Amino acid sequence: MAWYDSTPITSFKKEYEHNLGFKPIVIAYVDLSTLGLGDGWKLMPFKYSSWVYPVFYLGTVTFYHKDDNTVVFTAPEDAEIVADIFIDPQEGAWYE
Amino acid sequence: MSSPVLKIVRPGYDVLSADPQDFALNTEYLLPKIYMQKTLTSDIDLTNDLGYPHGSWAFRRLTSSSFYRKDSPLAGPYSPFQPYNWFAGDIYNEIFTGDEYTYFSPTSTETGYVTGGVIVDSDDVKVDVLAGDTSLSIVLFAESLTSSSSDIQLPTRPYIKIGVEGEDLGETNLSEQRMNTKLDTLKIFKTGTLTLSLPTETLTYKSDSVVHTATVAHGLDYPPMYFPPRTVSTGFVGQESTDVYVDDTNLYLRVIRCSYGDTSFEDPGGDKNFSAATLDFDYTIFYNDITEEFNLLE
Repeated sequence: MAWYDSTPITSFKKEYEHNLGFKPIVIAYVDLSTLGLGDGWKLMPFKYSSWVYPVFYLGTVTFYHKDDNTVVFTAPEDAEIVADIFIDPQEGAWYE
Repeated sequence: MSSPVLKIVRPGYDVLSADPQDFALNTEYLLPKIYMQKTLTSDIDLTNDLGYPHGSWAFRRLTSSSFYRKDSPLAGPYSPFQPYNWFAGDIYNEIFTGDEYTYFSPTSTETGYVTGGVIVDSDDVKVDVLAGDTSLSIVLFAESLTSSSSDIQLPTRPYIKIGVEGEDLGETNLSEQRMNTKLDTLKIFKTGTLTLSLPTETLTYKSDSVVHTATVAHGLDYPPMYFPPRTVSTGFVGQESTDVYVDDTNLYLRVIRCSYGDTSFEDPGGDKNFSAATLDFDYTIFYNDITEEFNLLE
């Protein structure tokens, strides 16, 4: 069985209002111990699987821009996430 | 109370009135500090010289042997009448050629292999190279992800250091410094939106797969870091595979569509119809070279 053929772990949402008026670059990490996946921190987003017989669970930790002022983080309950929100826009910056 | 800052504004803007995003440098905001880049060809636990959890990125170097599902799962929920996917065409001889780099993600593997890539705790930087890949290039940042941090002595050399307001610049706690030029940082080269327009199309029974690719040429002559951390598919989980990767020349957004093969009863699967779709990838390309190696703590 593979990760795509599995039971999703319930995700919860946490909104953060930065009020920048644009979608900034966001870099976020999750504490794996808060997902029951051992020690250490890992860059998100990602999906992961865990096998608790007879169910093959699929967890997702991710984030998205709800609008130009809000980032939404989604993860299983009690996940600890640390995010860096840049002052630089994700698109339409002046570097082009 | 005001504190000293260093500001450099983009051409055409007033340094006194520009919005924060219009500065090339503004030390009111923290600059990410990269202390190490390293490319590894096998699994290893490196000592975490900072002694606290910190940020990290990991880039896979892909080859023709990199994990990519090319077997024939059913094209949908199980049914004996559901045809299998059919994989044919030159693309399967050149999915990856050895010069491509992409982020490591647990979804780069079949089983959501979360311990792969790079994981940082207080003691170790655990590096796990995915089987089949040439190498894994890691990027280690100095900022702490927790409330713990420690004093780090950097080698003596000329530098500019700007501290967080209220903190003693004589201290050596990197998490309390907005900028420290003894360490590297992310340098934005280019941002934009990479758009891939997928047409409405029909692939006939057991026909060759169709490849659609959008690219942005960066012209840097080395594989640059990019963001956000999109990566390559495990291959065909459903009807299509979607891959994001970079090489010396371009940033790529690629979709491969495959046709139907036979059903479990060996009946022909018939035509497969695809709808039109548009994929947008808002990217940032950095000047930073994925393959460069250094340790600025030494």
